[in-house]
Amino acid sequence: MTFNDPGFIFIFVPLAIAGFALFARIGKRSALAFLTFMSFIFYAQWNPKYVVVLVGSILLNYTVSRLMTRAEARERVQHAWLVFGIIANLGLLAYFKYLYPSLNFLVRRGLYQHSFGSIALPLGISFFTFTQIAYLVDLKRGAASRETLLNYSLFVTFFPHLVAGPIIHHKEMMPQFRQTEKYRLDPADVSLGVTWFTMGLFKKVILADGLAGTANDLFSHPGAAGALQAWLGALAFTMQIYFDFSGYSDMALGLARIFSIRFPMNFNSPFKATSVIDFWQRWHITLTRYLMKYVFSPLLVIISRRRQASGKSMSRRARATFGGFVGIVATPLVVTTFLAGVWHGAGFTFIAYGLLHGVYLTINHAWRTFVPPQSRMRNFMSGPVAVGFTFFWIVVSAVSFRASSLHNAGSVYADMFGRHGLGRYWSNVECIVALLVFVIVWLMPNTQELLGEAQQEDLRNWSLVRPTRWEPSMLWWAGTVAVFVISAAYASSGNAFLYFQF
Amino acid sequence: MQLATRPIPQAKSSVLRAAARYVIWLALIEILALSGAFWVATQPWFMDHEAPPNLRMMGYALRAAGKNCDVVLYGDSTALVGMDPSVIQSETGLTACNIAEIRTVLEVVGVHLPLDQYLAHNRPPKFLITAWGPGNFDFEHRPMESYFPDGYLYEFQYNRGPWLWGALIRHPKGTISFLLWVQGSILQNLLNKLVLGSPQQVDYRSLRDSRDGAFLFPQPPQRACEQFPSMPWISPARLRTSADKFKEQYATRTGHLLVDITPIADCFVEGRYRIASVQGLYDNTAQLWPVDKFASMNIHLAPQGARSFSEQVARQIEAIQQQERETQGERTVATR
Repeated sequence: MTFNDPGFIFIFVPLAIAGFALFARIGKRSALAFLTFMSFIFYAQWNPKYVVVLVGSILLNYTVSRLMTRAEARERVQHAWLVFGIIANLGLLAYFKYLYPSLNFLVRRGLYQHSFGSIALPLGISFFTFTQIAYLVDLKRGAASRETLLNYSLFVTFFPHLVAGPIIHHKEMMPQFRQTEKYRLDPADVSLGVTWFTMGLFKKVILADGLAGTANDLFSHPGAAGALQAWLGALAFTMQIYFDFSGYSDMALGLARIFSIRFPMNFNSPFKATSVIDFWQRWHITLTRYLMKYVFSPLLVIISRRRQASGKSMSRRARATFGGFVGIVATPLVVTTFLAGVWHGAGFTFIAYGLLHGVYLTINHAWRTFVPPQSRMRNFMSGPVAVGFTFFWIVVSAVSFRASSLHNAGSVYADMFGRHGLGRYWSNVECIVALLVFVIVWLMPNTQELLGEAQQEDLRNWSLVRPTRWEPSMLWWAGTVAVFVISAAYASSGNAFLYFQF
Repeated sequence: MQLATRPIPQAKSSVLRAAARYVIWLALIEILALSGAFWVATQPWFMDHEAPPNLRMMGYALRAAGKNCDVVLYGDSTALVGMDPSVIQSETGLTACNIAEIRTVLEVVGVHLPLDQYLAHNRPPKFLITAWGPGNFDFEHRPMESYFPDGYLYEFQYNRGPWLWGALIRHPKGTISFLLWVQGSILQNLLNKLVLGSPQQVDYRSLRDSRDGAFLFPQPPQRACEQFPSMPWISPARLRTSADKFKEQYATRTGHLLVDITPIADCFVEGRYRIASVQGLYDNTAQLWPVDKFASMNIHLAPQGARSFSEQVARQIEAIQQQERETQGERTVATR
């Protein structure tokens, strides 16, 4: 079951809301238990067998967390349990996500003579595994508190974030569930949540799914398109994944808001970014935050210790030398983006995507480090030029993300750069659609700005229309009804979210 | 201090009331839209104007009421495009009609419904020839267990009644998906009219009706095998049991009943394995044909392939007739 499945929208969500309101009257614990139960039901709709994996993962991590809490006074024992927990989580992820593709790769290369078959990837395994690793690390650092099994299960499984994020810290969600007023449906939150969800549904079923056909045409026949068609297909996919993931994030935030739970922002107009560094602060924000906190920062600590041990500095000046830049900036960046690529899946295309972004980020940091702030080049590379330039490289990297193999990605790149000439021109409909999506992503406010939910700390965006604030007015109601009726008519369980495969 | 703070809760409560109204009215409008879709889906107008053009051809079993064909051809989409009544008529001299429906209809309504509807409005045929693709077709599949809008539309248009209302309540997910699909079809048509004007649409129903129910594929022959994700085939044992039951059920309602398998493209590797495993379960031989005899999905015959397969069916009929004549002759001799 996905968020755009009619069964989810018209049966599951109303049942979850009604049940929550009912059980909340009995008490806090029963309301929590009900939400946890519904989250397992939500997960089981995809494949009931894999509920066992989810339950097993929760029990394992919960046990480790208890053992870590018990060993609070003994630092080394606690550390050992943490390491065990992380290895067990990564082991589970490796088994389901990487083992069979890797073995089959060896078979294809003729290095091994055996048929391994394949194994279905449990939905959302990357997300619930990362959430739980973060919990264990935070528990060790004292940034998370011990929970009852019920609370912990809800923290991991709460259905708005279970299968594709946002990747949530314990402290972002569980304190909210401790507040008594959360156990009463707040009509303002319900209506805001429904509006938010509706906007996400529109992005997914009308915009993302509408663009999928053009993207699929290119990627199902790589190496057969003229340059114009290849660029159209690559653009279509870039926009498809934007609206798909942005739509998903809106739906997740809206669903959580129905229960008066506020999730962190996961998406903030990434195509308005003026650099790749800026892009990653706007795209899948919670994953970037996770990688920075649990991969990049520890790596930097290790590098810093090594440099200090060998008498090298970590200063700004050291960073501005070639050796220092490579050691302090480029190395941890490329390692982090490589792991980000691997996180998306077992395939060379994802590794290429990660490395490509590693290179982008390194160049971007080198630019910031080595090009003087007031230089003519810096002045030129700002505003719309910077947005367009960044977007160009995002489209280029999206090709390797979408292609089914490196060879196919290479074929699409060759098409884009004119192997078969310019090819046929875009049709009028294609031009109108392209114009429309560019207007939306570059000139319009994003969902949280339209709803007045943008936070102080969020990066500001330029837009043609002034940001608004949602209110239960006739105008908002009419707009939401129209968008909901149209989007629901196109809702289908057949078109899963692209991020569900991760 | 208290007086100063008093208006705030009042303002808050009015916002809460407005928010509650906001959600309730939104839900009511959607319920109204779904109810409207429910009514619309039962109307012939929806079938004639709003449903996707390729679905408008379904329901030939009902349109053939009173035709009293000597040979009734039935089966899934491979039979629909692969058995041409005009060929059978010219080869055997018997009147023929094709009442097959596509798999996405049969999986919802069940294998029996269109056939029963035909038999209820016609005299029993001399020959009932059914033909099925080598896919995952299940004769015992229970109605409404699967969701395909095509099948739901068939039910809404041609099989309304207390049974259907009960089934819709038992399958709320399918029901809602179908009603949304109805809304989507209407919106899509509206959009097409706005963007493209009113483009000329192929009248698939007239095409089918003009050929006694056969739908000869309006596509050029395949040049190579098409690739699909793996199909979930049903086991040969289950196929045998359900085919036997099917025969048992209809043997008394028709002169002769045959259950055939339609050919597949010889380049279709997965299908080849399948054919090998079901050999002997059908009344004809499972066959592999060159890919250019097919028009789509390695199993749907092009008109040229349909002619060849129809000729084979005609020969099956002639063989039975011949056998009958011989038996009749032997009986006459014995009586003399």
